[in-house]
Amino acid sequence: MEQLQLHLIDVFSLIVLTLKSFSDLRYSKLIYFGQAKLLLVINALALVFPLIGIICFYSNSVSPSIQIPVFGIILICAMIKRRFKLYNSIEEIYESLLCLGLFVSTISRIASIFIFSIVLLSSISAGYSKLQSKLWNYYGSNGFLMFCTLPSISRSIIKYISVNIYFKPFIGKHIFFFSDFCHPIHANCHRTIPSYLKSRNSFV
Amino acid sequence: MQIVTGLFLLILNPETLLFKLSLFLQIIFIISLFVICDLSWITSIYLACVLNFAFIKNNLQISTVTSFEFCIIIIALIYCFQCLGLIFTPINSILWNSIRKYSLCSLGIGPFKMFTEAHMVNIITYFIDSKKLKGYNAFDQNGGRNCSQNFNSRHLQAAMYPFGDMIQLAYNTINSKERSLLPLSAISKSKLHLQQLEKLACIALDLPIYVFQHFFNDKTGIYDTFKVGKLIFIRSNCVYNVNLEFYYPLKPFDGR
Repeated sequence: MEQLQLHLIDVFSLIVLTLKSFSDLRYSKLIYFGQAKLLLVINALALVFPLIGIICFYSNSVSPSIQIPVFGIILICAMIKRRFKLYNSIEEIYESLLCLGLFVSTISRIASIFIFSIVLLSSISAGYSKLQSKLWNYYGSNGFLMFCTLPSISRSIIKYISVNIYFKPFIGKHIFFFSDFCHPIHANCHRTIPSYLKSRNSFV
Repeated sequence: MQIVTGLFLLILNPETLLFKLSLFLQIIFIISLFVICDLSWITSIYLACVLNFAFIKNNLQISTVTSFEFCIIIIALIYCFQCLGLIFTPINSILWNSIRKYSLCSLGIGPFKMFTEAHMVNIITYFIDSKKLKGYNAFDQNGGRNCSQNFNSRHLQAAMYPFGDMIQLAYNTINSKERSLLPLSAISKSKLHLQQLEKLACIALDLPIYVFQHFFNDKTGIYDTFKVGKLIFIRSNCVYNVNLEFYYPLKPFDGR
């Protein structure tokens, strides 16, 4: 049962890696520099080997002699891809850590815990940076509301709901307080929703 | 929640109730991130790593530490210092400078800053006016989030940071609303930004790109969006130039 749980998580990880590689391949014109042909091969390998890994799990042939080379190649591909990427975002770092963690887990489960714990530490680090930011502290601005209504990433429906909740008397301020430990409660939180929010065209 | 649950997962025994509660809250945190802004592979990979961590820790049988495990622990410790560089700055400055030279192995891990001033104050977005490049537009015709961001890499959205820096530099350079032609290299913040922008220019060559800036309005609790300008990437003699005009004054963009 325990092994099955771990295998299911491994399969989930491999599916995510496959989809990520597909996405990278799709936008390879925009995200890589130099070595176009080599990167095409690397991307293809990064797409194929997680699939091989999934097939291995599916066919129940999960032995270290198969897993180590498969996860090893996935790890090498992820590292090379990251090396030639113009955008070294958190996504690439997490991908490399996941690949490294999966590879290490085929040899030693205990050691892989230390690798996966880095991801948790990164989350703590991100949380700490928010505490340092003026936007997210008690005397600052509305960090969580800004995040929920951020035009570059936030979904339209979330923007609408967030403002709706935020301006609701009593409920809004408490929800935002729990969402963001130190969220400031503004004096103007009882205002009604501006009418232009309901019309998307008038947003610009 | 992010800090407390993360710490509990790291420290506590997996059989305690608090550990299970922390795992549950971490999953809620990941789901809420996905619901609010997708973040696609970041949330999925983060979930995979947290699940791997929690389940392996739960099924752990402690034995003697082998040399391989010892090496991995040392590597993980180095990553820890890199990751917590924000907290242990003096140690990090020595370690970071020496490790970053070997970025292939160091995985580029550093102190993480998510959704702070650089990502939320006076941000600049863009829209490439072309039906052919629909999939390359991370933002819609109003400068807001485009559905192309769903289940996709952050590269398209991440391009807004070098792009925003370029717009800010160009605005500071010409300091007027008149149409101007500037070499791309002159308005790129760094060599890396120039490479990123050249890729974007290569894709959107000779196409009109509309520029938007978003200001958070404390009174309404939402961002006000302004179409601040328009630009076209032009290539002449193997050099990219930017033909741009501003409609509206810019506010400082923090960028990255």
